[in-house]
Amino acid sequence: MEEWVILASGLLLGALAGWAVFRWQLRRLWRQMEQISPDMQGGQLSAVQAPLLRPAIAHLNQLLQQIGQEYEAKKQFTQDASHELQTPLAVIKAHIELLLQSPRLGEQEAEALGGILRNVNRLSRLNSALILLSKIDNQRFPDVAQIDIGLMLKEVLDNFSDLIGLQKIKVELSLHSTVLVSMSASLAEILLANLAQNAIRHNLRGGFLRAKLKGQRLEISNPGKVLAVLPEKLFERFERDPDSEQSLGLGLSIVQRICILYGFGLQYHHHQGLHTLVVDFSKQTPANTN
Amino acid sequence: MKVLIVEDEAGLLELIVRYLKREGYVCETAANYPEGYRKANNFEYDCAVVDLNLPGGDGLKLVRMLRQENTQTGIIIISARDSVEERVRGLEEGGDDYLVKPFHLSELNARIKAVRRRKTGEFSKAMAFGGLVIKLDERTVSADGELLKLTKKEFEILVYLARNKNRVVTKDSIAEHLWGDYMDEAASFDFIYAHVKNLRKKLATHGYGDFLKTIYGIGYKFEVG
Repeated sequence: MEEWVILASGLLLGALAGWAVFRWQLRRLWRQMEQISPDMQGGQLSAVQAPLLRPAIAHLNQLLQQIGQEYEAKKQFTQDASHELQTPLAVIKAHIELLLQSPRLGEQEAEALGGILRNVNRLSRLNSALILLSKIDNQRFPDVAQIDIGLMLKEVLDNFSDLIGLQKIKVELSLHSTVLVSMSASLAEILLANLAQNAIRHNLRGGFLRAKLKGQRLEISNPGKVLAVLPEKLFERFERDPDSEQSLGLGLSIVQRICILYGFGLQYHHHQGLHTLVVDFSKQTPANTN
Repeated sequence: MKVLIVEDEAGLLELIVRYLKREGYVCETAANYPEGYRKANNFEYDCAVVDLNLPGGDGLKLVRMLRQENTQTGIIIISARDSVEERVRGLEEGGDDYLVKPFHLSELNARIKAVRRRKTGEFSKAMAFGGLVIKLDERTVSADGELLKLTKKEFEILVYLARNKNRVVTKDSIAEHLWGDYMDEAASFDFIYAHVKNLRKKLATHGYGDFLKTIYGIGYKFEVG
């Protein structure tokens, strides 16, 4: 009888101890996994602190390696493809420009050339945007500086003043705080210019553009039609307003990539005909730009 | 005027030469670094257009060399690299201007003239077409001796078209010249249309309205005899 009790409690203790060791190793592994992020190349898990999980870890490592390689290859492909497209595009454009000078050009030919030109320009802008996206993904922006967001926003809006005037848009700027962010100056300008352009392009004629800087948050609002795009899809590539011919559908996804790179919060909301985009600079994480 | 063009993309090189030859320039070409080096070393040029990415060497070295040889040579860098650092480096090494690919030939043409003017006063400080005189330094335009009141943008459009006189200049090239990336294409075309219309009206008061031709759907042409 006694022997049975000892055996049972021994087994129980053993099982409990085993479970504790297992849980401890699992927790260690979990901590390692938390360190791995998509932009960390060649992240691997170590089995040293979790020998019980060795086979599972080996399998995970293999998967991680494969995902990493494919991610790299995809990034490289986008970058190479868009760069390779640049030269033929430049040559096509130059050919059209020269052809336009021909004195024998008839009205029909000129019209056809005009059509080709418009579409080549669209391709060209699309390509530049893709190059920019792939550069952001590859973090190739070394010009890091202390950026005064309010100051730069004023400059950006000033550059858009012709467009703002043309659409008879009223700019309401309220800068309640000074926001200083350490980031690439080019990316900061691209971020703010894309936000401003978005608020102008999708505005109403005679509407307004309201930009508010408060605490560490920048809010940009504009009145406009209800979105044809689902709000949750707004930041995805090539999601665009079908009525807007000039829109490439890449502006906001560039904004989103920059926010992800620096860890800024980004939100969209819509209330009674007012579209608002909010960038929260407070969560800034220093991106290693090199 | 003698111009050296160093560009490895044969198609683009040929088109640049064809466009510039119509200006009456003598064009020398090089398709790689060694050839560019040899030509830059042995001859003098009024202007050089240099691509940075060249087979056989770095275009920046050519820029440095051209600059050391002659401070009067106008050097325009053309490159697909568009970062601020690259631009700054290009200008530090001796470039007078930096044009990012893909560019419009009309823009390159206008930049060459602007650089030459800054360097030597060539394409003198004023451009005259009959009684129509554009003074670049003073930023004024007069018709038969009378000053025309032009807005800043009208003046810029007129200068750009005049620098590409007797050629069709596309609307998107004008848009890029005026605003860079800061403009929606469709909106900018409305804008240019309005500006050109006003500009033509002002020129027409002195009988120069016909200088500005509209090429429907494509752009404009500053046509003078």
